[in-house]
Amino acid sequence: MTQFFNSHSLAIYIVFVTALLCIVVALSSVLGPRRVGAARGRSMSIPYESGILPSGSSRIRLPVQYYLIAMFFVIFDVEGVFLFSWSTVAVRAGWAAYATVLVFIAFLGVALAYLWRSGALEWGLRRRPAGARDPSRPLPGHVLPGQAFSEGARAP
Amino acid sequence: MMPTFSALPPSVVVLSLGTMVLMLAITIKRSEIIDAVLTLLTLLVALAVLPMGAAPSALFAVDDWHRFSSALIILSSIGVLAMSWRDPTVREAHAPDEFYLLLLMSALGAVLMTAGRNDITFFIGLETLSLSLLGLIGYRQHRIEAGEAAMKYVVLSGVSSAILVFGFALSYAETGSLVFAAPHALHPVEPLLAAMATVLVMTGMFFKLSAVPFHTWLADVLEGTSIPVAALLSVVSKIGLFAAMLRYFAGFDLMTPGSVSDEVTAVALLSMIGGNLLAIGQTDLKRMLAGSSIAHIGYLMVALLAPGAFGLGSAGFYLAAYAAATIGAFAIMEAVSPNHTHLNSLQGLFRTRPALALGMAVMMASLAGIPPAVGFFAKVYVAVAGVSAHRDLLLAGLIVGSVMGLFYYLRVVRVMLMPATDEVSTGRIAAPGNAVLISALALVTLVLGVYPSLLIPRNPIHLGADVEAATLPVSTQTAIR
Repeated sequence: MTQFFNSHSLAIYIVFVTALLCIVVALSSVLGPRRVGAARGRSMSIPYESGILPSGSSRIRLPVQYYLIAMFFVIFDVEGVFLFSWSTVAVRAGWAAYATVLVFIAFLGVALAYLWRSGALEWGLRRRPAGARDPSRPLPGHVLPGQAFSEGARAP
Repeated sequence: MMPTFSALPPSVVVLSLGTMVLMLAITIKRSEIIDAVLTLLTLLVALAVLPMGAAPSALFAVDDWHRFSSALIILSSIGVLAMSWRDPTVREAHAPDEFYLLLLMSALGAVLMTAGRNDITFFIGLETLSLSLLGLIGYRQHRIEAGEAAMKYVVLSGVSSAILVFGFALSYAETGSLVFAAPHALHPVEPLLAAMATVLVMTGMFFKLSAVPFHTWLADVLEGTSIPVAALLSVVSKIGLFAAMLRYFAGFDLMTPGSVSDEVTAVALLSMIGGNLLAIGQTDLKRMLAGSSIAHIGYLMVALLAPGAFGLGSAGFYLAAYAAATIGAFAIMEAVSPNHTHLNSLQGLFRTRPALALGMAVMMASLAGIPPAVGFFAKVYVAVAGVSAHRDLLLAGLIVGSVMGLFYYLRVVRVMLMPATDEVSTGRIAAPGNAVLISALALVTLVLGVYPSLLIPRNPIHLGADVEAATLPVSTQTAIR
């Protein structure tokens, strides 16, 4: 028996987790108060039962640049992580590592130049990226930045 | 070459540099000719540097298997490049420049994956491939079906990556190392943990390989994308993943019955039968080829499950035959009608454009396994591997699947033999790159079918897993041997 417990700790863990979850769910459904009809009240059907009352619609269109900037931030933030980890061993790692870091930064520089040139860093009214086809039909979901926010504010 | 880079496979270095140069070229001036030339040049140089070696490391395995599968991947990418040159559907929504960039990046990811000896290198390759494929699938952004395909791909790709990483985490918990190999089922402290890790990693890979029962996304995604991307998705990503999967199981004894071996057997059987059943009912050529691709993954798993003298050789041969015939079929569809891939579009092709129809017939014969096309010998090779490993059930599945496959492959030939309809245009000439590609692939399919020994390795290929076994932690030595 001890041998079984020693060699199948994961199986036992899974069994215990499953049993515990079943007990918790079963107990709350048996012991918990149940409200039906008028006793349910309006506050039960809003997202935050005891928080602020939500206002307006959640279907707001944010300008697409918002997401782009967020993504660029993550990408270039990760660059910082790599450089910091290199900087702690910069002297010991020697010239080879320095060259590697230079190549890394050069690659990121090329990427940044590409983004800049493609118009991904433009904030505000959208200009067509260089070389893109003239929009004979506007893309669905293409909303001007200011318009999106005012729509959200107007929603009841 | 810098000492730091010397552990990287040379083709990976070339492809990364090529990606950057292409990006710089797009930044300076958008010109499709420059993009295509740079992409082709990068792929050719990457092919040329494949025989070069690299410093041994725990991250990359630069061995014969990596060279062979990378060569297949790079050649297939060149095929896709030839197909997409002057393709109207690629450039209908967006400038075509990023298409070439993403194509090069997906080749880079697939090549990286075939060399991955560590979970991290494999995963970086896989994500490079998946993310660039996502961009390619959604390239025709104003089309609703492209959006649907991209959405399905991103959700399922994300889910399968999560499953895969969870498997790696369990594997790390068990063995204490990130070596890309199935944790050995016999030795570990916790057999259940090792088995769960392997099953989770396999499930993630099966999702990406679209083996039944994880296959449902493939037909929809192929239908929603342009033809070159469909070819890339069903050839390059599958070669990369299958090559990695063979490496994953290199040190694992799949012959002993056990949960892992049983799961792979079940998935292989289901894929052979399910893929063919899926393809039989399709009237859209892309969906039909999706079913066919699922079935071929099932056949390939027979080679995976038959380790020994024939296993790796037959898998490599089959991958080559599959890649040539599938890219050829997609290229001919591209030449006939890039936008309309219903089976009807081929009607009367033997009257209107006999050369293309002959090429299509060769590709279909190869996929069905009819001599003298190379697919016949590939199937024989895989069957020999299965026989030598006494995989009777899988061989039965292989035969039943092949018979079912005959129906829909030959139906394509029958439709091409039917009288032409009036509205079929006869004037459209295939783009020069595509014409060269089709003739080259038809030639390869026939020549390799007659002289298969050209592609059979004289010495058995080794996966080179045990070279630096001494440098790895003791607990993993059993896992990779």
